[in-house]
Amino acid sequence: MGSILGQPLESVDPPYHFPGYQSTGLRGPNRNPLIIRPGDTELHAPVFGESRIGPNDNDLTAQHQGQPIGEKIIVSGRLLDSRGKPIANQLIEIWQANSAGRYAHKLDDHDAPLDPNFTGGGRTLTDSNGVYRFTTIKPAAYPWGNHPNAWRPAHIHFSLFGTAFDQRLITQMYFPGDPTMDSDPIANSIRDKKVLARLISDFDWDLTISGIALGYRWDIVLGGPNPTPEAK
Amino acid sequence: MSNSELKVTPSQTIGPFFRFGMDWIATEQLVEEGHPNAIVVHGVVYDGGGNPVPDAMIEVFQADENGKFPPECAGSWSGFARRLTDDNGGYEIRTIKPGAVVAANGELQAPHIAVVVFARGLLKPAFSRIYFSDEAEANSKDPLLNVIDDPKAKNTLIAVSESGGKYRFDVRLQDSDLGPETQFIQFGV
Ligand SMILES: [Fe+2]
Repeated sequence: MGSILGQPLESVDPPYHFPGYQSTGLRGPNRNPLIIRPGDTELHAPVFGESRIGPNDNDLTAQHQGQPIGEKIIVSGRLLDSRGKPIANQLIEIWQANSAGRYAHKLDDHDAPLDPNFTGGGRTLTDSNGVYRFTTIKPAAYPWGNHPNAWRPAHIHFSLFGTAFDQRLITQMYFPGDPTMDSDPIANSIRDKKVLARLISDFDWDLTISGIALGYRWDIVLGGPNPTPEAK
Repeated sequence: MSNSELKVTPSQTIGPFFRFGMDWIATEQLVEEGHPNAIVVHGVVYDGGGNPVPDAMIEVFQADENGKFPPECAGSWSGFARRLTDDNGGYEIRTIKPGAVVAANGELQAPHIAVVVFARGLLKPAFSRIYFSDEAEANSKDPLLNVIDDPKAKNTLIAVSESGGKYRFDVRLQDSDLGPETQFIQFGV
C-alpha cells in the first residue's frame, strides 16, 4: 500500500509568521508540517442539528430586552466547497464588537461603551442551498496595542465547518471601503490583494430591508483536499 | 490538483476576544461521567517562551467506539468537543478511545483523535493528532506515525497514559525549554 504522505495544495492562507502582527512571534509554529492525505477521521465532520440553534441565535439584535445601538445590517451569503457545491445544514458561528468597537469580553479594555442590548455572538445552520443569514449591528473599528495608533478595520469573526474536519476554518469578514484596511497587519498578512479581497463583503441592495436594515453579501468557500464526500 | 477551482476563503486569526461567541458548546463532554470506557485527555498549550497560552481554542474530532462517524454512528455521538484554554493554558476533555479507522492508503490506523488549535497570534489553524502511549503495538504499525522519522517529533503526537484513565497531551506551538514543537499536520493530495 502507498504512503499517506501528500503534496501540499496551493495555499490561500497567510503564513504562521508575519512580523507586522507581533503575536505571531512566539506562537506561530516554526517546523515544517507533516503533509499527509487525510484519513477517515479528517474526512468526516461533526454534525450540529437544528435542535442546537435557538430562535434568536441568528438575530444579534433580538437577544436582549431592547434594541442595540448602531446601524442594523443583514449579513448573508452561501457556504460552498471549492467545487461550488453548497455545504448544507452546517454550523456557522459569528462574534463581533458592538457599534462602539467594544467586545463583550472581560479583557477588552477599549474605553468605549458596552451595550446592554448587544452581546455580539450568533450562530445558525446553512439551509439546503448552503445559504446563511444573520441580522446584526455593524461593528466599529477598534484600537489595539500591536503598534502605535493601530486600529482593526471593522470586521465580523466567522467560524466554519465543512463536510470534512480538515476544512475547519476561522476567518474575518470585512466591509467595503474601510480606510483602515491598508494598514492592518492581520488583514495584510494575506499578501495577495486578490485573495484578501475575498474577505471583503459586498454591499447589496437586494439584502436591504426598507426602513430597517442595510445588507452585505459574503460567500465563503472552504478548501481542503476533499471538497465533497463523493470525491474520496 | 488545484484547490482554487472556486476561490477559497483564506484564514484569519481567532483573535483574543472569542470567548463569548465560542463558549456555548465549550463545556460539553463526549461521554457522560461514569461511562465504563471513559478517558480524560488533558494538557496545556504553550508558546515558544514556554508560557501557557490562556487564549487558545482546542477542538477534537474522532470516531465512536466502533470506528463510525456522524451521521452513520449510533445514538447521539457527535465526535466533537471544543475547549477554550483556562488562565493556565489548560484544557480537559472526557471521551473514549475511538475504534479503528482507515488511513488514506487503506491501512488501519492506531486509535487517534484529530485535533486543531486556534489562538490569538495563529493566523491559521494548527492541526495535529492525538495518539495514546498505551497502544504501543498499534502505534508501531500506524501509517502516519511511521512516516515521521524523528522520534522526538513522533512523541509529540502521543498522549502519555497516567493513572485513572487520564492522558496528558500538551501542545507546544514552538520549541521551548519544555520540549519540541508539536508535530503539526497539513492536509494535501
Ligand atoms: Fe476582532
